[in-house]
Amino acid sequence: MKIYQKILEDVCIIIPHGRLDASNTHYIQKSLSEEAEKEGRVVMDLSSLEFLDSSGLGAIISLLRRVKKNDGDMKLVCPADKIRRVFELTRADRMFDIYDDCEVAAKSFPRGKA
Amino acid sequence: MDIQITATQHGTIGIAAPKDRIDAVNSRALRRHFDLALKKTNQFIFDCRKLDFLDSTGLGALVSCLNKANSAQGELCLFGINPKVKIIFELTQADKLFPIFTDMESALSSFANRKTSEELSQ
Amino acid sequence: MKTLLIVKEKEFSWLGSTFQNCHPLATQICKKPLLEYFIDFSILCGINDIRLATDAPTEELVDQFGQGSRWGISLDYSPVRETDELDEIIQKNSLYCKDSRLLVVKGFCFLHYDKNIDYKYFMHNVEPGELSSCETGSVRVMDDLSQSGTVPASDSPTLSLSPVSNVGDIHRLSMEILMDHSDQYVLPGYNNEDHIYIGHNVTIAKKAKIIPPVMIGNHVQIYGETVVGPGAIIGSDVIIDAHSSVQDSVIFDKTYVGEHLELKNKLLGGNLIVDPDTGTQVHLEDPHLLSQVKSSKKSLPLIHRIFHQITALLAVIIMALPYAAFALILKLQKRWLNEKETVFINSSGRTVELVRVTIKDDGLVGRIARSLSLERFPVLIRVMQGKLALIGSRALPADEENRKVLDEYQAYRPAAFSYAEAESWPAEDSDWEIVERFHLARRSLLRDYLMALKAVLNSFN
Repeated sequence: MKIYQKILEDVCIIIPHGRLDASNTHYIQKSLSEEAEKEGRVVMDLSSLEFLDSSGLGAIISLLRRVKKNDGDMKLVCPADKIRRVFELTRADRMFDIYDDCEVAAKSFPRGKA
Repeated sequence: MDIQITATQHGTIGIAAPKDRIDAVNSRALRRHFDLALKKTNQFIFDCRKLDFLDSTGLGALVSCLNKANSAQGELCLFGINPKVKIIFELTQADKLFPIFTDMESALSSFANRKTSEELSQ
Repeated sequence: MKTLLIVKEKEFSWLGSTFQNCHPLATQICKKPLLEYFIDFSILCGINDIRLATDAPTEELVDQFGQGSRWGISLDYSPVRETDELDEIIQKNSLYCKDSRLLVVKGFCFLHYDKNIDYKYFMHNVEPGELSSCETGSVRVMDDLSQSGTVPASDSPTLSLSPVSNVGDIHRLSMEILMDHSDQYVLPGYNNEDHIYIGHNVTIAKKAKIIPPVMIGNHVQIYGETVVGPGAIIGSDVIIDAHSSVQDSVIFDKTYVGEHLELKNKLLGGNLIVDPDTGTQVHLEDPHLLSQVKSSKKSLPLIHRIFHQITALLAVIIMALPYAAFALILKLQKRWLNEKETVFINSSGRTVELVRVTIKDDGLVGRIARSLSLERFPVLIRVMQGKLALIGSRALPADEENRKVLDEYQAYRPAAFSYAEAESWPAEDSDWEIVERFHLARRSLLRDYLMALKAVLNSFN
C-alpha cells in the first residue's frame, strides 16, 4: 500500500492506494501529522483504494475520532463502488460526510475558522 | 368477567364489561358467567369500551352467548366497540350478527323499542 | 440528463411499524415497487443514470434492484447525512451532477406520469425549476449551465406528485391506479382481459368469482366460493381460503386469508390488518384467520450450526476440569462472581438467560483462569445447546433500548465470543456494531473458525 498526501490550502488530503488491511493500518494511523490533526481539516480520498477490511475500516474510524477530538472533521471521498459498500453495510457511513469529488470535499470545510 | 344484573325501566338487564381482551384464557369464564346470568334475565348488554382485542375463541364465546340469549327469546347487544375490535368484527362478519350501538343509551333504548313493538303486536 | 432521488429516513419512518418485510422504497403500489415507478419515469425521460441519495440503509434495495441492469440503466446509491440540505447533497455528488441536467425528486412521494407520453423533448427543453410539489416532496429540473429552454405551454405534459405519508396513501394510490389509471403505467402480470392482471402459477377454484378490476400476483391460490374484486390487489404467495371476499383491498405478499372472511377497504400483510381511513392496525393472533405464509428464513446453514455446537462441546469437555478446579478456588476466595443476565438470541426478540462470570482476581490464579476463558464456560454450554453461536455479535441484554437496536439489526447473531473482541476492535463503545456487521455479512465456516481462534488467543494476552 502507498499513501499519498497533499495539502490543498489548509486541508490535509490523505490518499491511500491499494489495499488497506490489518498489515498496514499503522501507516494510516501515522499518515496524519500532528499539525493536521490540530488543524482539523482532513479529507480521506478512498478512490484509489482497492481493498478495505475491518481493521482498515477501524483505522479510518479511529482517525476520524482523533480529528473530532480537536473539533475538526474528516470528510471521505468515496465513489459508489465496493469500498463504499463496506461503509454502507456496516452503517459506518453515518459517521462521515461522503463526497464523490475530492476538490469539493476539500472546499466544504467552513471558512473563516482560525 | 362478571355480569351485573341491573333492574332498569326496560326490565332486568345483564351488563358485562369485558376488559382488555377476550381470548382462549378467559372465554370459558365468560361462558360460565353468562350461563349463570341467563337464569336471571335474557337481555344483555356488553360494554366493550375497555375491550381491546378478540381472538377467534373469544369471538366464538361471544357468538355462543348471543345464540343462547336468542334461544331464550332474549337479546344481546354491544356498544362502545373500539376501532381495533371493529376491524376484527368486520373481517369475520360478526358485525352482521350482533346489534352494535355507539353508547349505553342507544343500546338500552333498543330494548325499549323492542318491548313496545312486542306489546303492539300482542 | 441524470436523475437524483433524495429520500430521508425520517420521511418514511412511519412505515416501520407496519409492513416491515421490505425497504420503504420497495413498498408496492399496485404490486410495483415505488422505486420502479421512478426508474420507469426516468427511462421515459431518456435518462440512463439514477442515483439515490439517502441516509437510510440500502442493503435490501441493492439486493432487490442491484445496479439497475434489469432496466438497462445505471443505478447507484449515495449515503448522506440526516441533516443535509439539497445543496449539500448536490455538493457531495458533484462529480455525478456536473455537466448534466438533473431531474431531482425529493421526498417520499409518488409521481404520476403517463407511459404513452414521450417526456424526452420536454425534459430537455423545459426551464429549470420546480415542476411539481406536494406535502411530502417535490420534483424539479436543475441546470448548472442555466441555459433557458422553451417549451410551448400547450405541449407540456402534466406531472403531478402525491404524498406518501401514511398507510391510507398507499391504499388510495393503489386503488386509483387500478381503477382508473392502469393504462398509464407498466404494471406487472399478464393482461389479457381489460383490468385484470394475473401473475404466473395462479390457481383459481371453479366456484371462485373474479370481478375486475383486479391484480393478482404469482403463486396465488384462490379457493371455492370466494369473491375477489372489484378493486383487489393481491400480492404473490397469497392463499385466499373458501367463502371469503376481497374488495377495495390490498393484500401484500406471503399472506394467508382464512375462510369466511370479508375484506373490504383494508390493507393486509401477514397477520396485520390495517384500516386505511383511520390507520387502525390489528395483529390477529389466529393463524387460521390471517397469517404469514412461511418462507424459508435466512438462517445459518446447518453445517455452520453443527460446527459451532461441536466446537463448543469440545471446549466444554476440555474446560470442564480446569473450570471446576478454578471456580472452586476462586469462589472460596470470593473472587468468582456469578451474575444472571437475560439476552436476546435473535433479532425478533427471543431471549435466553445467561450466567455471566466475573473473575475479580489479578493474581496468577485469576490470570490463568481468564486466559483459559473459563469465565465463558456457562455461556459455552448455551452454545452447545444451540442457543448462541460460538462467534458472532455481542449478546445484547434484553431491554427496551436494545429491542429498538435489533429492529434495525436483522443480521444479529449473538455468540460466546464477539467479532469485536476477536479483532480487539474498536476503542469506542458505539463502534462494535460496525465490525460485527462487517463480519456477519461475510461469514463463512473458515472465517468463523479463524475469528474464534483469534478471540481465544486474544484472551491469552
